[in-house]
Amino acid sequence: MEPEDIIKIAERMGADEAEVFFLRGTETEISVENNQIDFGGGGASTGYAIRVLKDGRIGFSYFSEENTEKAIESALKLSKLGKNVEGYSFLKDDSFPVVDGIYSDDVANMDPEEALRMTKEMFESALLHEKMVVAGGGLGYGYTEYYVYNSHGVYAEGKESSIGGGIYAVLPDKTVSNGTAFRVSHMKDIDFNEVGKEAGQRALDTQGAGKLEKPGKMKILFHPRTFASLIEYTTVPQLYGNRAHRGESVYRPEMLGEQVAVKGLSLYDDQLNPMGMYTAPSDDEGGVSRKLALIEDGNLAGFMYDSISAAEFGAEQTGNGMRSGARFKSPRDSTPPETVARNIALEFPEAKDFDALVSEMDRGVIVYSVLGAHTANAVTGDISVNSPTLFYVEGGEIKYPVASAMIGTNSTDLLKGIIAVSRERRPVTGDISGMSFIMPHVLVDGINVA
Amino acid sequence: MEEELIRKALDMGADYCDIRTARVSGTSLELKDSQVEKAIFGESEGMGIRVLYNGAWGFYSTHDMSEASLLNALETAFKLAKATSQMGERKTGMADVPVVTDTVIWQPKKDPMSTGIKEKHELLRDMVTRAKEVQGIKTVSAGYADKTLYQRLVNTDGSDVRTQVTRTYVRASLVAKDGSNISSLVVSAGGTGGFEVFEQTGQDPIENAVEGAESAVRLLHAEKSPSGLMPVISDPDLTGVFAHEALGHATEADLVLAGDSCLEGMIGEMVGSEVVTIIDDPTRANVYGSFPYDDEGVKARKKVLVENGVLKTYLLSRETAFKLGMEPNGSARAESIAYRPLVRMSNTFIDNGDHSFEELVEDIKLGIYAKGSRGGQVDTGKGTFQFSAQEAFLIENGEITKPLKDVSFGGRTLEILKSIDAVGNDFRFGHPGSCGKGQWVPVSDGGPHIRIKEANVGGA
Repeated sequence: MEPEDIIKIAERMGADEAEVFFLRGTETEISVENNQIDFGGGGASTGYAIRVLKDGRIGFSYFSEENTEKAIESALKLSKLGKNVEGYSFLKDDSFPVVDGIYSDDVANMDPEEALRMTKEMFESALLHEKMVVAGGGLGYGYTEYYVYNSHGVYAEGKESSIGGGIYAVLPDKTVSNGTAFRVSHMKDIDFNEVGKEAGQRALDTQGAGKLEKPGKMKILFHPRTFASLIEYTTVPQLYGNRAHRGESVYRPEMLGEQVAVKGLSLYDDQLNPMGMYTAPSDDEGGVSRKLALIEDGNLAGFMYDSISAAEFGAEQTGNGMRSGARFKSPRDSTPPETVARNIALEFPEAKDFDALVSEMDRGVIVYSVLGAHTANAVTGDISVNSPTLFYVEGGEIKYPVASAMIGTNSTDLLKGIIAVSRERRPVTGDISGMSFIMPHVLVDGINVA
Repeated sequence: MEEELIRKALDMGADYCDIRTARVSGTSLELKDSQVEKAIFGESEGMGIRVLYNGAWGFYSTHDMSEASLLNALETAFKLAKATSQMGERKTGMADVPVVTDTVIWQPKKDPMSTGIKEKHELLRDMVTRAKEVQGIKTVSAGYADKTLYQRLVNTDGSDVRTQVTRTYVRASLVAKDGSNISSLVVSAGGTGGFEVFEQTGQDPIENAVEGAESAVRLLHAEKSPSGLMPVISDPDLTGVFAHEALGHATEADLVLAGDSCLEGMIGEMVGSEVVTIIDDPTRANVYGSFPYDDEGVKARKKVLVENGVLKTYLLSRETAFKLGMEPNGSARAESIAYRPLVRMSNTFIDNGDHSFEELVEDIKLGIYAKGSRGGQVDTGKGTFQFSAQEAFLIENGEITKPLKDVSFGGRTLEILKSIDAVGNDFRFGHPGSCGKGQWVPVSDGGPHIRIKEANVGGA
């Protein structure tokens, strides 16, 4: 069914305005277990979602094409309870930018046999020791395309491919150690052998890990993935406009322009950067994509808004109306758009090579993974995590691997304590929610490690 | 159509094939203070086809139920299995189970489809209103969700199992504020069944929300926790999280086979103190993680994982049972037809002991009473875990004294299990939730109060 037809039906059935979202994609994944490829799977999905506006209230339903009218009826019924936002209307701006570098046929239509070969090479690269076991991992690829169309005639569409692979290697030798590595991209430009090697090397390097001999306040060099997961549950949601306005954040709207992080530090939602995994001409409700400044040169520069929170708090929609369940595997579990960050990018002028960062550490740890990042307190930003993969550094040299350490800090202290970052930035997918990061290694001073 | 696809799979030369067809419908509602933020109704259907060929798996799913699309799904699954089978020496298979033809419909007493959206709205509104009456509460959001899953599983063994399960769930997020002090907390309730499930399982969502609000307010003025090794009493919620995270995951046979479990090769050995018995039971009536058949058509059953400290079994799917030479115990679950089944938990808990709460606390000079959970994570291979308490109190000289904030624990699973020296007699299930392992499935956990002689406590 054409988008215009769905909108027409909705208007005929009584909606004052309507918006339809359509998503289609395929995904194939190859997985590895215990040093062997053990599974090849995939799926194709399509799904629709409709939002109606009736008497100033919004209703929502998701459906498959044959159930269009029933879905519209349900949405209209639900709208009676729905949120009433004064002056709300679906989005009208259609100045969508052209986004390149996020779709490749080579990825979208890759032959599974090629993917199997790449996966095999990847996990074999991790086998750097006779006892090394690649316990898990694999490779996934596919594409997603979407459109949003509403009663104002606004039509946004996008198509992206993605490929990612990771390895989880365990080395049961003198002690049990492990290593993980993961990379993701829109294009076929990942060296998966490097991914395997990185995981295997980490498992080798953390053999014989011991206790942290001198706990206390020290420098921490965070791996991009680790730093991303710490701010994913704290700083990022604290920068959602609705949370800030409702007092559920350490940041308040009147703090705009105030210094909230170390001078030089900038945090953007870089929605147009092809390195980001949620790059598209628009968000999932037709909000125009942009590079949105959240923190700029240490000062609070902006908040993220979807169309409803923007209308509610008198702000501009910022391209953050995302349907968190909508991308990847479960489009049918669609939710209406809500504020979700897309590609959180951290920029800092003091950018160095990894080795130079290590050499700057008089005393500290390099942290490759943390457990429990999602248990952080999103409101206050208090973080208490356990790291099972870290190295102790003294006098600028890596001294020994540490088996386990507790890291206690606060997200605002983290942002105030940054002293340098790595030159290389990596795309990192979010842990659970549908957001991604463009993240360097981050060196922070003065954190409690026990 | 399923029968035709099964015939075709056999014609193609599949060693085994199973087909899951599902129809899902559900509503969800979300309130922020008194305002409805989201009101959702949705329906979907789809099919997932799994093919075993020459000892290797292929899988494909689709939401497009046209004949052409379903045939394509079967062919793609077969192609993936064939290609995968050429990639390794080791062959997999399926342990035998009885062929079953059965239909189990868990019909809710108050069917969510006929229970009006108004009634659901009123419950949430009451939760929000009552919680907001607690002095110090700044915002309350409440969510309701019901989901009815009808599923049919057919396989080349000849099984044909139809099940229908409804789950109903409510949640309240509470934020308290005093000056620049902010605290937050989440409580939930729910189970398998319709709107009647709260009453049937003795959960009162409104009371829950009020208690959560009171905890959130207490946390505002909570002090920082002491850190280091000390005795810990965990409440039923946190005991459940420990049973699930620290022990439960390590009993998942796929992790054991992957070389990623600290319990590998330990069946029959003491893994905990004698007072510890840990069970996974999907047959408990109305509990959130219950189901009648697993996603391989194996009848659900109670599994005693640890009995008086001795590891008795693993959680097993048909495939992992084949590989380990054990008997499947109905632990294969998939998030939806878009996923293959993995080895998963259901309702996991530490069984009741015989101590009263007072007896657990009275001998402790300095320790922590930890309640509820903000979540946890585990490294099953190394056998380490970390979890955070929602709320905690200091125990001084046998008495519970001041509230503490942001208390978390990390440690080695086997050390902590052996360090449990007393188990309470006040069993209950904790908050229902979702367990993530690349796929989300509904689970529940619980237990009585337990005393851990020594755990590594850390605070933010």
